[in-house]
Amino acid sequence: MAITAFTATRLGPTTWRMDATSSETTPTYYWYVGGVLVETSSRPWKIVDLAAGESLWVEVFDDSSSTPVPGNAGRLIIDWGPVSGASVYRVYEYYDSAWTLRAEVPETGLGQYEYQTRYLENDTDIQWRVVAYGTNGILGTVRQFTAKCVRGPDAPEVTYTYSVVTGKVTVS
Amino acid sequence: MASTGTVGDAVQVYLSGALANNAYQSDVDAALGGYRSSVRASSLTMRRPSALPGLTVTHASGANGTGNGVLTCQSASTVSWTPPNGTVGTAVTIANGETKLLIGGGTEINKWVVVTRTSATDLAGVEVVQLLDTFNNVFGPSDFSAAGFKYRAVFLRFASAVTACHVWLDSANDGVRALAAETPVSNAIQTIASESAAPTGVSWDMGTTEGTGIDIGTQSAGAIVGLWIRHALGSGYTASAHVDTIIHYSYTCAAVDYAGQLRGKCRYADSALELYLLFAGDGAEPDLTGTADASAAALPIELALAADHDWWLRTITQDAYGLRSHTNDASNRVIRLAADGTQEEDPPSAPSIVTMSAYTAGEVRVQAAYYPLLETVSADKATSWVLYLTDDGSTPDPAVDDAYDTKSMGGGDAELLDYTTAQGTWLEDQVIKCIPRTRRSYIVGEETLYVESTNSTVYSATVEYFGPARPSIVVTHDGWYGQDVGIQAAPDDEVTYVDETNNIYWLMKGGQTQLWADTVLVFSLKRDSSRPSWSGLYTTFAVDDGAISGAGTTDPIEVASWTGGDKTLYITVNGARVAKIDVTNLTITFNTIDGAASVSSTLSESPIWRKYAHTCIQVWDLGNDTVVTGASLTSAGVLALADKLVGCNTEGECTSET
Repeated sequence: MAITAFTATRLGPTTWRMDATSSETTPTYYWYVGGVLVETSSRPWKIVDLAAGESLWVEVFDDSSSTPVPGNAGRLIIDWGPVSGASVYRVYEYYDSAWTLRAEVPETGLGQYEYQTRYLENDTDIQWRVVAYGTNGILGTVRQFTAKCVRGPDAPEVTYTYSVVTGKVTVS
Repeated sequence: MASTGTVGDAVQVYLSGALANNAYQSDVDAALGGYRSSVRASSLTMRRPSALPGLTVTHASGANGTGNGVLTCQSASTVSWTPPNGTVGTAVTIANGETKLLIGGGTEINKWVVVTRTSATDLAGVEVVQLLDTFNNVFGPSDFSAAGFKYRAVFLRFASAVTACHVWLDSANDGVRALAAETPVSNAIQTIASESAAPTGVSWDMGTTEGTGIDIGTQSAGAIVGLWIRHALGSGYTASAHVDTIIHYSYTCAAVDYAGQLRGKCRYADSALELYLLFAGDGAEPDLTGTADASAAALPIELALAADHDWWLRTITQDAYGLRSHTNDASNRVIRLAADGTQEEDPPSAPSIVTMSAYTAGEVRVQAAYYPLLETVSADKATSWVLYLTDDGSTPDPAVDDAYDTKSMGGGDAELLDYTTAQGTWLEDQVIKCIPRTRRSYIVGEETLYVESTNSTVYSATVEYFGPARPSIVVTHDGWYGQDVGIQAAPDDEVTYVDETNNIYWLMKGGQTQLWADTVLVFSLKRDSSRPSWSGLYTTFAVDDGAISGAGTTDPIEVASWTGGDKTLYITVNGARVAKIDVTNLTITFNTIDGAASVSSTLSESPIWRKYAHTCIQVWDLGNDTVVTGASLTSAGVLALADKLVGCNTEGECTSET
């Protein structure tokens, strides 16, 4: 088993289409975006949308055992298990000096739930909360934690000025 | 069928820092000695994107390594574990509420997960469990931002009796980590005041093999041993966003040898690395992984550039872990220096997929595509379109011609030009030639300059004014009756003035177009395709041939003189006189009358129509109920007639319907 071809086609400013082929007759593709397994399917292509400043980092395998080369992710994936009596799970981010609701994930009987964050600032501790909202209409106990992504810095926005007099370029 | 605390799980690792033996304490940063917590120290993070309902996975052995394991429900109550890159283990029966150890197949006895069934619902399905190394757990401490020491303590708890237990560091940790065992007194080991305070009275071991590591020896079931982990970071360390800690352990339980791993990750930050880095490539992309040509903690940065080179400049940022940014349009630039040190610019790529065609009446349309992404150097991308255009048959020359028009680009990934000229600018059959180019503006001093693509392919289109001919129609009332809607009505003595003041005009009617010079009929162009013998150009004027030239007006009939003694008209083609009508002396002079020449036709319904190289006289053809070209003159003054030329004695003969 092997991926025999893997191409990326830019569809728009932040959108890419990835196409893969496999040596397998009926392959299952394991798509990783930013090191995260985001899709397991027989479909040989995937559309990826990036946040501004985010780098394209997609890997695909046709076997479950292969894993991506560890990198520096710019997003967190927050997973949690179900709790009894929950109707919906709320994810908050402490953003701009306030707890900001980022997601409401309904309780649907799954064995695990997850939320992928926005593309986060590099090397910045961010506080998160996950709390279940009960079927009785009462908010549950808050699970709060701090995490950061070290994904590498953003590209700078600079201007170049060349002086014929000094023969030097100045980056500012 | 294995239970927790046996076989590969016989040696369990717990956090320290509890207030009493086996009390709850889950803060890895508080694992600084004291009592054993009831919380197991996890090596791997288990991510379950599509978790099977009714099963929770509470622990995975570090020996699994990272990767994707698979939980497979083999029946309604049995589950198996396949470690990453491993083989399927034996299916284990789990009743609701039970917790079991699922072990990999074959020799993979050290690769296991602890699973609890939480529902009586039949188990079914397959689940991929992603096993990931964990930042800042008890094995990989909190991140370092400076040289120093950090300590953590865990407890080895022997859930089953074991012999020959050893603990040692992975070779990758050589010289950086150290381990020390501490025998608990009354179930507790010493507590350190902070993570940087060294425990006392312990012997540090840096062995990286089973033989050189710590010999824990034989331990009875229920025994515990404290294990200190020291992370030492010396000055001059190398910053990193990924630092692994891997600790190995081995033991023998029930005559079977087992080997486990404890794993964690942390980061080494060095604020001195937070820099802007400027790279300069000589005619090529610079290597952004190497040493920068200039750097600074803050902008601006200066760098001297040698003349007579193309410098590909890239500015990136580097963070405290040594990670470097990618580049983008805002951080890239190419500066081309001539031999005298002045700055030059490279042209952008030429447009692609260019088409040029006639558009609506009298317009031409130019369409082209340009893909900035295809520029080798992103800073070279164009910012606008520029069109060079000629309408006199000559080839556009961007080197000397002024631009006909320019259009800004939108800044997208695919730039599309859809340009149409103003309506009525040109004449029918006029050939328009165009070179569309891309261009980029740049500033030198306070002056805005442009550099254009160098493409020279000429595209052309012929101007058109009319669509297809008039359709013939049949009208019915559904499918029951026909409806007579007649034929297209012929013009009914329609007058079109050439000079209303002097009463010079065209008169159009069915089968005839007459040119009147006040009260004098110049000619009547007759047309009935069903009566060729009747059709022709009838005139009482003497028709002669002779040289006619000179600039005329843009009107196809030019009134050159209209006085008592000189009443002269000219027929012009595109502003040039090609025929003279002397109304005073009743003569018409053409440069050439060519009986064999074909008329240049048009679909215009005006009595006279200017084309680029012809002037056409139109007439209603009684034979097919539409306007046709009965006569045309070329720009060289050659008269072509659809039918014959007939000299008449009287105007009545000229206009006779029979």
